[in-house]
Amino acid sequence: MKQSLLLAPAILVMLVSGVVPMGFVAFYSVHDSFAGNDFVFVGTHWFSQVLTSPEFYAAFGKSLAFSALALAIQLPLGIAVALKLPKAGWFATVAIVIAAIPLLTPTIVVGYLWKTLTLPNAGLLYEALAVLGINLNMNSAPVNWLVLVLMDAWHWTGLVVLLCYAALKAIPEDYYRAASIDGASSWAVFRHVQLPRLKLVLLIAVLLRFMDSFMVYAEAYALTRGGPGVSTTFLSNELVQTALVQFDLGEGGAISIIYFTIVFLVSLAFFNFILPAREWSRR
Amino acid sequence: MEPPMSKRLPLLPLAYLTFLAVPIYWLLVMSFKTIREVDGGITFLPQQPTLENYLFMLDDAAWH
Repeated sequence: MKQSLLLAPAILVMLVSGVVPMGFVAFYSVHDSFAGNDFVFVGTHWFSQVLTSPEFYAAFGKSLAFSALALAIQLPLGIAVALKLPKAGWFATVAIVIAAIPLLTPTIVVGYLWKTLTLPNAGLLYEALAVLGINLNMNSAPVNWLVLVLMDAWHWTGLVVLLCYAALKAIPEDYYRAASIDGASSWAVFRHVQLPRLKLVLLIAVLLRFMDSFMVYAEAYALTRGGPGVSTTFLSNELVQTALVQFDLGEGGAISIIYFTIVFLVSLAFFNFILPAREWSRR
Repeated sequence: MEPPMSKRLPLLPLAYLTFLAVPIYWLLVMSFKTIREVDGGITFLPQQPTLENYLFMLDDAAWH
């Protein structure tokens, strides 16, 4: 009884900040509204509309592709950097601090910073490429994607580095000594000594990076408002456009519920991977 | 065999940290430049270091 009382404030906060808004969204998703206050029950109308709309699938595909690119670049890069960092010393300290700075930068600042970097005259990236004879054309969709992926790698690879570095530092020296007595190659050391120890943090890194990149919003908004055209209009931008710009609360609610369900199911699946891995790393 | 975290110049971390540091440096340097200088092409250090951007923001009612 006492324990559950101690939990009460936390539960209250979660109810007010999570469950109640989610309830409103669920309510909107099965109602049609007029002038924002006259609601008519429409059942699954909005869900079938969203699930048959090409815009939804296009935005969904773009979000998935962005997450896939983010993970494909940031995980290997993060692991590689963590492996090559010295275990101690001033360089390691400086490196950790620099790797942490982007993590502390608000997403909207990152978005506008990179937008500035790509501007003619003012932008270092634009002008540096111009010196090499390359014109950074932000009106081209692939170039936009490239900058977004680069921006996300800049912002979040540090998370993978920090997680992996911490896990690597925790490996006892004896493991390496045993491996070297067995004549293990550096690949074998990575595969059989380091990688098993990294398993848990990598699962956590994949989960966090998937959730964040799948919900990416401010970066694409700051860079080109989801453009050129709709080439970088991700699911989150599509949702804001529907719910807050067109003020289609019903359709917006339905997109929210579907969006939430996807992230929730992926997280749940990962959680089921993470729990056994955690048991394993305790042994 | 040495544990893989060791010796030699860590080229990959150096390249990665440079990639991280350059935009941070650019953001900092830009904040001390006049608007005319920001828009007038690339300068690696502020030619006339100024706090006017900070004063402008601190003066802006929308910020407080």
